[in-house]
Amino acid sequence: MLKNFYSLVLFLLVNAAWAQQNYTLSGTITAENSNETLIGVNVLFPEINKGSVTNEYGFYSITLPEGSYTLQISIMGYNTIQQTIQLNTDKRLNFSLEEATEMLDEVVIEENVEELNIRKPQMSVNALTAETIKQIPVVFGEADVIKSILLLPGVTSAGEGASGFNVRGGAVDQNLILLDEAIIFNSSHLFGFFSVFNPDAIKDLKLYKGGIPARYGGRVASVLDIYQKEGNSKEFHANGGIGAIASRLLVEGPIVKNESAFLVGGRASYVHLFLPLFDIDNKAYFYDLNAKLNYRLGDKNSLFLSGYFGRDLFSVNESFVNTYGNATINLRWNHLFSDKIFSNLSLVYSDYYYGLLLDFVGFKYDSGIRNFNLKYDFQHYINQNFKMGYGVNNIYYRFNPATIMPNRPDSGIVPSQLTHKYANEFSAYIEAEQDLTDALTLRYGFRLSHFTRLGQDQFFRYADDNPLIFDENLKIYQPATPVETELNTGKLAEFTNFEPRFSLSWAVNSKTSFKASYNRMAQYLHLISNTNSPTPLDVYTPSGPYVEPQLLDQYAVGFFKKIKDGEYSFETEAFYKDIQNRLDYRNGAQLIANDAIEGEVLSGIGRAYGLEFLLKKNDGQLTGWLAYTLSRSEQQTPGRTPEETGINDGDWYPSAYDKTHDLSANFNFELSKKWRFGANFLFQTGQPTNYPVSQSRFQGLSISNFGGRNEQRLPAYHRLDISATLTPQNNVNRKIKGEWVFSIYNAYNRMNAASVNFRPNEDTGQNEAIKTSIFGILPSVTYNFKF
Amino acid sequence: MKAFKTYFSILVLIQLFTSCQETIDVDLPQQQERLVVDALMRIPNENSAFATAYLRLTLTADYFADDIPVVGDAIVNLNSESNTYRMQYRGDGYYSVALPRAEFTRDLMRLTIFHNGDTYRASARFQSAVPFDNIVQGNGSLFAGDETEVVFSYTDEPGITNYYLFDLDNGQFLTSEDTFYKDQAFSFSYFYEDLKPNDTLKVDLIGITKPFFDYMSIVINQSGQASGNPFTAPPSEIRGNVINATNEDNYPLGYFAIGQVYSDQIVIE
Repeated sequence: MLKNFYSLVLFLLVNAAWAQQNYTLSGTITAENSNETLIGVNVLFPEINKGSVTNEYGFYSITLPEGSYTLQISIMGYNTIQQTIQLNTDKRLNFSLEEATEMLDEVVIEENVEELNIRKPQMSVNALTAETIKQIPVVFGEADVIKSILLLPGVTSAGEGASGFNVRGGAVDQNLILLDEAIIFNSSHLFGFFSVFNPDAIKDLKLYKGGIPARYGGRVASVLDIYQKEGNSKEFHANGGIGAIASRLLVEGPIVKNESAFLVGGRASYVHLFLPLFDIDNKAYFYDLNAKLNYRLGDKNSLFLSGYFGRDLFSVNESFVNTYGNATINLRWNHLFSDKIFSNLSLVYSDYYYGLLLDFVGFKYDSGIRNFNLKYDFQHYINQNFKMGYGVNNIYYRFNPATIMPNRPDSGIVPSQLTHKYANEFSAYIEAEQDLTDALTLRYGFRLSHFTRLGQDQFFRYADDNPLIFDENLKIYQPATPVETELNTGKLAEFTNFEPRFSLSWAVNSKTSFKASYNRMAQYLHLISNTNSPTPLDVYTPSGPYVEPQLLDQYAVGFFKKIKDGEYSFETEAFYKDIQNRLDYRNGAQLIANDAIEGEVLSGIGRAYGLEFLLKKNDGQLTGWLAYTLSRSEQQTPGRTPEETGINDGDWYPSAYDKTHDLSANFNFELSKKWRFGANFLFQTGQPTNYPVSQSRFQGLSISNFGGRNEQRLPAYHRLDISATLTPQNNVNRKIKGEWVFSIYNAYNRMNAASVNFRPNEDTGQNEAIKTSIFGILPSVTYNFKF
Repeated sequence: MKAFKTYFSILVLIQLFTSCQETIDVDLPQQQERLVVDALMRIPNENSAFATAYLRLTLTADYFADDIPVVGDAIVNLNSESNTYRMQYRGDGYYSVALPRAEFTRDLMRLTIFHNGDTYRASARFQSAVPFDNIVQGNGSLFAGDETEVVFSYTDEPGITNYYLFDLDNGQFLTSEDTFYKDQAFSFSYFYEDLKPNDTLKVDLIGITKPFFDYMSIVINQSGQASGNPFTAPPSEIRGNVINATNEDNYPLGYFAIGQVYSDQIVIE
């Protein structure tokens, strides 16, 4: 396999050697006021219809035959630069773009606005700017990344109070979430009411739903790639906001002017968030901290050091304390090997911690995942028609399923440690983007991933290697008793997967294109959740002798159209995906602090398919979009032998994220410089769930008897949010600029069901169905400032 | 461990959302009527020669029905390895018979029920338990501040893996396994709502098997004790250990288990 990889590299390099008489124009594009590098800037040569886009670090490179060209550099929100370039030698040109003079000019989603993107083979991607995210009205008036991406086609969630998001019928753990290239395991604060990303620190965000480039791997449903600001190396600035629930502050400034900068941002919510009504000592809060340093070392090197630390704390009377959060530290080195080869080396340490203290049972519980991630990525701009990316990535994981400790001397709890699990994931990839003709662009490549489940202190072996026994008489699955505990094991399992990726775009003309893509992806970590919505307590488990990696094949086709010179754009995509080795838990599974998780899960398959539509208005006073998705997401967990029942008798059943209809709309209306209005509307088919089919008595308890899994649905989810932003104009010349955001979440007070539970009435004993809703109408005010 | 998780669910999350709950009308799917065997036989730790076995037979009912039908016309036999004991109907679905303690606690007991032309079978073996070391009233509280804390202490039976079922009175049950307090003296607090001074709580500690522990953990989850929060496990069908030997599709619900019980009580101050 590796040999093929090298011969492909060789072939491509030879291929590249044709273009000798060409010259290369390269450089970095920054914002004039901050020296912050700009991502996704179009570097265009309109006369020959060629161009490039700046990468995640603001770098561009384009190689053209000798000649004189008009160069146009443009990105929304900044003034376009146009100049004539004499290309008779390799040139390095850095540009600083001035912010467009209009304050708060906004274009919402920037994809497909420019001609170039019509031709780009990347499909199924949505990009949001920090400004867009800040304009979307959300609960408590706090701008939120995850809540914003839920408005995009193909993205849903289990509702309020549910963490994470679901992409094209995928599970929450199937999203690769990268914050400055570091993997984030839990994206939520306060059980999903907020996401962990500080909107002030975010520079750029892309969500890949399909056609996922070969440089990403390890998760099968999507990639959410977030880059944070680097810090202003020109002058000191601060901005922040004061809201009903949380406040935030971000400061940035130069260390050495034009060379290095720092950025420090923090957010904290107020104590007593949800529990002001009880007159006892309850706390529920979160905080997070972002810190970044960047150094520009000459023209060819940059260093970035960044850190994130976030914690949630929930405590009741000191007798129940729950703490969880992510921490990452990340060192990156950008180096230009030549004006055509850009490289980034990242060294990332990330840690997810979850702890629980239960004083009334004298019990303390810690768990977590640590990983060390080394990544070396290259972008190779070979010529104007051919661009390559290649790199390697190695991730070492250490899982702590649980450390149990007594929390006081008189506790009967015996300290115990569930066996740590270790794994290593190595991958290498290569991909190329090639313009075959003016109309046809191709991207192809593959990723080779290799996962090793490393040795551990103790490992359970079972009779016939079967950790889960089916009782044919009772029709139930039960965990098997290990026949042997192997100590200090060597390597437990290895998996290698070849993951081809392929995308094609055919531009019918400068306004219309068709695209198609295929991607195969492997996921070696499984989040096993037996709750209706993921909680931080959920257990990640690595693939190993009893659990095979998840494998996905996704096919997508799309049609993209610009209308009225890009004032409107329309896109539609159809997708189909197939997943192997999707785990589901057995009925009554016990997942917490369980050393033998393999005895609680069954392996099945999944599939999802759907049709997405997105109509956007990109320009003018009114901007926004309308998105609709029709889709289906299903799972099948058949028995392993003809006698076994599997789950739901081995039939296909809707996955927990199956939403037939998903409609969302987002509008922004700029009435004047002073007033701006926003609205969004969501409609989603109710989430699949289980309802009881009968009642019975056992030991005096009234029991609800349920049928198969996910056979009913909650009522449909819909809501409208509105907001108004007031930017006082009398302070335009003042140093401190502020704005007021008034918002109403769930404006018509729809009591959406987070769950429907069935239980006997406490007084009458009569069974009843109880709908739990989390938020009704919720007005809020936030004050944002910057200086 | 289940006990801890149940605590987690009930005590914390439910409270977050109580204020946003309302009763709604839901159309529920219908399922065929099934026999429900409630046969947890609690054997007190006494020196008497005989012990009484009780069970109750009922049918499933529509979820919103007011009552559940009881079964009074079944033939119920309990077999030890050497004898057959016919259980007598005592009304309201209850059947009982007294049988020699030695057989009850030693033999693999088999239960056979003949009802409506079908034959149902199950078997169980006696599980030992341990007594409460003490039960005292505490003065802690949780959310609302008006709960009554009761601290239960017991010492885990040494040398083996134990599963316990606590019947804490007032329809409150709790399961616990000794994984994290093996062979130790252990205590936990339970917080009761709506208790008054001079109320008496009669509590049982019952020894159970691992499969029955699993079963009872789901039963407790699906009895409404832990409902009302969006973080509980999605409920599932609860198959017990009783089978229909005549017609597999007409499977019954319920469980047959035999456990030693230590009873105790506390009067609330």
